[in-house]
Amino acid sequence: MNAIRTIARRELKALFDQPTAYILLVVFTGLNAYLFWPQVEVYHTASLRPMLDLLPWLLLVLVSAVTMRALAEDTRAGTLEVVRSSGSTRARCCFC
Amino acid sequence: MPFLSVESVSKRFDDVTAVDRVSFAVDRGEVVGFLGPNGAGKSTTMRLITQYYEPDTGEIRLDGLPLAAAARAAKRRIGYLPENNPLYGDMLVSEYLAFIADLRELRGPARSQAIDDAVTGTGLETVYYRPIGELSKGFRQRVGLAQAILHRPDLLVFDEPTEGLDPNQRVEIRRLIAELGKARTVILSTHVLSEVQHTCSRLLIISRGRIVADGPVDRLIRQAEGAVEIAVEAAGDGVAAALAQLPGVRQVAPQDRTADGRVALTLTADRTRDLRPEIFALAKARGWTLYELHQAAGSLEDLFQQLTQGAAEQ
Repeated sequence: MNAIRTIARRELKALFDQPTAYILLVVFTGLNAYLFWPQVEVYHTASLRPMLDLLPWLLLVLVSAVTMRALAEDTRAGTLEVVRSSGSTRARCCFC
Repeated sequence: MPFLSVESVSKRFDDVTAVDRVSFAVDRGEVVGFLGPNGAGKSTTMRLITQYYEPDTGEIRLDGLPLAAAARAAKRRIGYLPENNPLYGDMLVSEYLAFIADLRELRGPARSQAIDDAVTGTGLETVYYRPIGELSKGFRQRVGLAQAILHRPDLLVFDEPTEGLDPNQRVEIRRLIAELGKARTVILSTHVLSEVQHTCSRLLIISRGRIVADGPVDRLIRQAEGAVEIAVEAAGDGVAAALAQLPGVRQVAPQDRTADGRVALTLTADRTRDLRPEIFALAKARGWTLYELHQAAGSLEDLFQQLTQGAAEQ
């Protein structure tokens, strides 16, 4: 569990050290606003249901894109080898 | 019981056999050089020892325990510097070592002491708070070594630790490895043959996934087949002609006779026979004055070429 927390902390820091995370946040917020706003405009109802219905699918794409990129970069750079030989299993690395 | 034993280990990637029934044992305190051409299976073997890969067949034992059974405990006893020394360039040296200490589950005073010792041992004090991405290659290599020794492992596995370094940095890192090897067992792979002669007590040569030589460096060099060069400088009559008649001499390369009548020659002879006593006896019998008689030591390059090219031709 500690290894997962350690790796997750490092990956989050690395992500927010670059503009990528902020761009993704803007895209994510924009998409949610796009899903939420028509409900207010057309039906005059402040309902989150349409947005929440589509949220899992949106997260499925965004989270996969971010985490797979991190894993691929670590594999390419060889840093995954250091992390794995430091006591972390393949499963733990993937959970982060 | 050997400290590390690799027993008939094989690893395949699709149709390619990277490591083919490799067996060797390493005793505690040995510094073993792992040599081989590119693609011979050095890095794969090291990755099998450090459990980055799992063997298809065979078994690796550390202190008698199979790695597969004692995976995490074994990882705590192995320090690994992979090929090309992968580091997170965006991290400070301090952050990186703290990250590795966390991964190694070091805590409390032992954690601080381990980091202090690794930093001091590798000479990283001056760059401790600098980003890794801004460091010179020599310092980056030191950071890699520091992460490998951080948890005080018994076995160090270094994959080409001096690759890409300039001669001064090579000497520094080599000195550091020799220092680290005093208290630990070290396996290091390299392409620089002279490095093995300077650093290692034992040599393993791998070619096409198989071990083709295993033994002390000096003994293996002596075993190298082929010709040997003997330098002779003598004053007397018919030196070159008489030496050319000796059994085993393939070629005599004469050089100019100097003003005082000396002649310097280089003999190329079979390695199987030491001709020096015969040359001395000949000089004595003919009344020559012998100024120099020296046989060049066999080189690791000869051995490496013989063993790895031989395997490539098969």
